[in-house]
Amino acid sequence: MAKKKLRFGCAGGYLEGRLEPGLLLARDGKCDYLGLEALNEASLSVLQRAKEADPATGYHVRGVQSVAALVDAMRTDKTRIATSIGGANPASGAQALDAQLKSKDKRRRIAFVEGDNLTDRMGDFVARGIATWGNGKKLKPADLQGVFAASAYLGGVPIAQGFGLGADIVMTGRVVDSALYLGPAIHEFGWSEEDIDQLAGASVAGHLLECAGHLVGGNYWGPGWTRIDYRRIGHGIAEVRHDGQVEVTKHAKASGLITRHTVAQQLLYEVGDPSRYILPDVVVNVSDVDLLQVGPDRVRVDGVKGAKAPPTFKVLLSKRAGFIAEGLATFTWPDALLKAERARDSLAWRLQHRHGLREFRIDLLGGGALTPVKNADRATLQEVTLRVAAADPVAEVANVVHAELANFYDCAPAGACGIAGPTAGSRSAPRERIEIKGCYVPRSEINPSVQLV
Amino acid sequence: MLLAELAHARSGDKSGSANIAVIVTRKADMRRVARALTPARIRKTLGLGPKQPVEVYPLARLGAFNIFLPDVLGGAPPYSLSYDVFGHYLASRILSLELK
Repeated sequence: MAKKKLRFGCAGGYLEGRLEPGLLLARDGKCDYLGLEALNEASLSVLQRAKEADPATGYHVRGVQSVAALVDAMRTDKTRIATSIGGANPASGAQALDAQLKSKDKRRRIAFVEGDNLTDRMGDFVARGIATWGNGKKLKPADLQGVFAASAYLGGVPIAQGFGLGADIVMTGRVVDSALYLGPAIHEFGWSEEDIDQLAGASVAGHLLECAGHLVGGNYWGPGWTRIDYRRIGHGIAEVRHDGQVEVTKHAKASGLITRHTVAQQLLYEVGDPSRYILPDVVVNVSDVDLLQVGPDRVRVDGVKGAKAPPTFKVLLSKRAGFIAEGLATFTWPDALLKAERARDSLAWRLQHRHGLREFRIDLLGGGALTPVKNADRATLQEVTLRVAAADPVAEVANVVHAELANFYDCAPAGACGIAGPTAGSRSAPRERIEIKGCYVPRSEINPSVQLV
Repeated sequence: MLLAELAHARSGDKSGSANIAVIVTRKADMRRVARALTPARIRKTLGLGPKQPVEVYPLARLGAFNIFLPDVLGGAPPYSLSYDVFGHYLASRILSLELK
C-alpha cells in the first residue's frame, strides 16, 4: 500500500559538512529517505576541471565515503539516500560507491542521473539562438569565451525515476538542492506536474532541510539561541504528507531549536521574491505561509502554494577570470585603527602605482569593514586587522600582495603581526577566480538520463 | 530603539545578489517595522549607495520581511574580492536600523 506520509532527514548540506548529525539520523532517525547535498555554485566547476584532467574523476571522493558511512550506520536497509555527490561525473561516482559498499558486504542498488552537463552543447544552443540571459536577451558566441563548464539545475523527476528503477541510492550531478527531497516524494506519491501545490510543499520541505544545521538553529541569532549546544547540533527532519502538507522537527538526541523563528529564517534563506521561488519542477509561493508550533521542536508549514514550472531550465556558466591572492596583517593599540589606515593607504598606492594592479580591495576588520566604527570609539580600539584581496589575469601579478604584506615588517607602522601570507611555510598560493553566470535554456533541450550501476 | 529589539534576521547570497530575511519576534510589531524598512533607510543602515536596488517583500502571515539586494556582493563567491562573500554580515547590520 502506498505511503501516506514520508519522513526525510538531512544528512548534509555542503561537502565539508559535519557528518555526525546525518549518522544519527541514519542510525535511528526513522527516516524513509536521507538527502546529502554537496555542490555549491563553484564546486561543480572545480570537479569539471578535475574530470578534464582525468576522466575517471570529477565526483566528490569524500562524499562517497560519507554515503558509505551513512549506509554503515543504518540498522535497516529501508532508508534510501538521494545525493548530489556525483558532481561532474555521477557514473564514476556511482561505480566507486558500488565498489565501496560491496567491499563492506552491503547490498544497495545505486542509480545515477546524467544530463546536467551542457559544457559541450552550449555552443550549439547559442548558435541556434535559444540560450538567453535573465533579461531575455540572447547569448552571443563571445559570451562563451573562457567558459569551461556549463551545467543545468535538474529537478526531482529524474531522481524519482532512479528510485522507480528500484534504486536504494540515487546519485546526481547538478540538481536544485530541494530536488533531493522532492524526487523521492514524487516517486512515492506518484505526483504529476499538475500536482503543483504538492510539488511546492515537498520543495519547501527540501528547502528547509537542505542547509543542514540551519533549520535547527545554526547561523541563528534570535529567541532561545543561547540554549543551542553547537557541539552536537542536529540537522532537520521533515514529514511530508501525500497532500503536500509539511511538518519539520529534529532528533531528540540532537541539540537545536525548531520554532517559528528558526524555521522562518530558513524558509526565506537565499530567496528573492517569496511569491516566485523558481525551481525546475514548480514555482513556489511562500508569501502567504504561516508557521504553527504544533509540538515541542515541531512546526507545521501552512499555506504553501505552487504554480506551473517555467518553460526553461537554469544553466550556470563557469568562466575563467584570472586569480585572486589575499592576506592579513593585524595592528594593535595604541592607535590600532590609525596604523591600519596608514598601512592601507600605503599598500593601495603601491599595488596601484608600483605593480599596476587594477582590481584590489582592502578592508579593515574590526575597524569598520563590516560594521561602522563610531568616531568616539576610534582611539580605544585594541586590534584592527587589515585584509587585502587582489585579482589579476596573471597569478604572479596578483601574488604581489604577499610580497607587499611581507614588507609590513619594516615598511609599515609599528607591530604588524600575524601576516598570514608570507609566514614561513604558510604562504598561500593565489586561487583561481571563477565568474559564475546564470542563463536559461528551453526544457525540451534537456533530457536527463537515469540508469542503474 | 533598534530593530534588534523587535526582530532577528538571516542573510545569504544568490550568485552575487543577497537577501535578508527579517523576522519580527512578535507579529504585533509588523506595522511598526514595516514603516521603518524603507529602501532609503535600508541603504543607509547597510552603507549602500543610492543606486543600489532594494526590494522589500512583506510576509504578513509569517510576520517577516524579505529584503532582496540585486548584485550587492561584487559577484558570486568564487569571483568576489569581498571579505564576506556570502553576505552573512548583512543580517547583523540591518538590526542596527533605528526605529522612530
